[in-house]
Amino acid sequence: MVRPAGLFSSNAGVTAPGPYGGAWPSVGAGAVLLFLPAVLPDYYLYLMAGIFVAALLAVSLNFILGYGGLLQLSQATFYGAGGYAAALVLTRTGLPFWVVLPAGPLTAGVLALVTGWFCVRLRRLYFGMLTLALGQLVWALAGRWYAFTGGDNGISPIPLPGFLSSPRGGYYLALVVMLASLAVLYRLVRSPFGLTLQAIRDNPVRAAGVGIDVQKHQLTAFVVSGLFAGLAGVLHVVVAGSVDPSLLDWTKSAEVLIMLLLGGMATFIGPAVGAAILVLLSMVLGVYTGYWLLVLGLILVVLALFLPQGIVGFLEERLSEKNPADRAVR
Amino acid sequence: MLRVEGITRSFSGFRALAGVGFDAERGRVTAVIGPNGAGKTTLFNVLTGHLKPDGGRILFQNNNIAGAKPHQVFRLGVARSFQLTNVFNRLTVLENVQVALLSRAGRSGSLSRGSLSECAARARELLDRVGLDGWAGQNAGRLSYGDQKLLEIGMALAGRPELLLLDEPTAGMSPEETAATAGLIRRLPGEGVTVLFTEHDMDLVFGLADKIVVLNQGLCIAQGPPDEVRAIAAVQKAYLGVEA
Repeated sequence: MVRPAGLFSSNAGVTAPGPYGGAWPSVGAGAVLLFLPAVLPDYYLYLMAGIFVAALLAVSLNFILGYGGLLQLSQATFYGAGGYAAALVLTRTGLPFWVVLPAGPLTAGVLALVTGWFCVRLRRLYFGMLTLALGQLVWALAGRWYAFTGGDNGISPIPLPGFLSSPRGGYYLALVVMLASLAVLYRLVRSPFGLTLQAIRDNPVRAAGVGIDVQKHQLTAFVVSGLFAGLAGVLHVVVAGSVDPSLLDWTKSAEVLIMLLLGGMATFIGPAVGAAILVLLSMVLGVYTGYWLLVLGLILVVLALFLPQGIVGFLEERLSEKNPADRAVR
Repeated sequence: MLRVEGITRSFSGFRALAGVGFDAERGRVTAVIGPNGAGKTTLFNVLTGHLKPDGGRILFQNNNIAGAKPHQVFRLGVARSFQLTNVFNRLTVLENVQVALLSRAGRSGSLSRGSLSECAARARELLDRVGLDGWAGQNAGRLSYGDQKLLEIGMALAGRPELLLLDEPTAGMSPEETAATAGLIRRLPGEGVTVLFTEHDMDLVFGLADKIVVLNQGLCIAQGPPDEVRAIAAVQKAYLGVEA
């Protein structure tokens, strides 16, 4: 296959600046996103904000699953915990919004610390089963405790401060928080902490053999991942204006997993792309009809058969196939 | 340097180690030999904390390290390579060594990219020492089997170990790779590293070791300088017949 020498070209043995040809494309994309509210109608701003929330949630899951190798099957637990925390603080206290914003991730982080403490003692599927079980526990609690969480009805409406009550306000908050969070997570992935996390993913026994406290490291990463999922939950409250137990449900966790599979877990930005595609698809198909789970199932089948490495992973593979010296972008 | 006393370890009734005891002296190369199933790998796993012993003591520099966790043992200055290759497949060769260096420096949790570049030079030095300097940017999983074993030694050396345990370091290597590895092991005592290794290649064992420990059925049945052990081994003809 011949490919044109473009942004993605690199010579064997020469270190390319980055998977997407340096910082300029992202700066350009950022500028476009910044000015979109000037031209887009409210409904599309709402949709875009939904994409930002889902993107952050998906990247937070990939941090622990793709980079940490831990089979987190219940990421929605922390997403929902962050959302509920924000909703409760907003409806039951008069605290200002700058308290609400950290309350969500903090709650999710503490929940991740407590559940993770048990989970990291287990391996692979057993780890996954325990996250799922504990997650369902939290889901059942939120769905039954009418006096505190509103039970099945959830909490709605949630009063938001003036600057966030318009779609434009929600859009900007979601955009800024999502970009800042992705920047932090990217730095984490590329830091010694992140490199060590990936080493543990590849080989926990060997990692312990070079002096790494595997469980402590995994627990830290688990909490970080939960924290950012909780932050996404707060953004959901701002964008949607309500919470209900479906935020915590395992089908929500499965949806996030499919975003990862769709975009590809081997790349940092892949899950965000997967999130965007899935959110757009749900809109096109009439927003969560009864057929939505069926659609998710079909997507999963197609991915498993034709694109096991996800869309972004597939593209990168095609773009670097001429260059055996390239390694998979982490 | 290392004194092992009466180490026992059973697996559901099977006594893999039945009270092993021996010494390894500082600045020497000690080989552990014995037929398959003699307990060599179990012994190594116990020494580095990957398995807990049922009983006995492991004195490393006069501290009992029996039952300590692997990462603690590594930080005390005992590093190892594994019999089956054990590298971080999806990281580059350089990153494999960097991870070990960061861990040794207590900076595994660091968030600064600076600590990565700081240890890059030292990582390249170690790769140079094990002869992998040309492969720094390659994914470790793509290396040949022999090169992965060399990388493992490089990662072990990143811990600046005082005691290095090598579990069949040359198994599966080509003759050239074996010779290079033997040269590397021979140089280590001069660099302050005490070596304990297992090996099936008897030429290599008798060519490298200052001392040989013979295991059989979970017990140490002989230990001493190569010539002495060869003499003892000659008495146990049946056993040597299998090994040599």
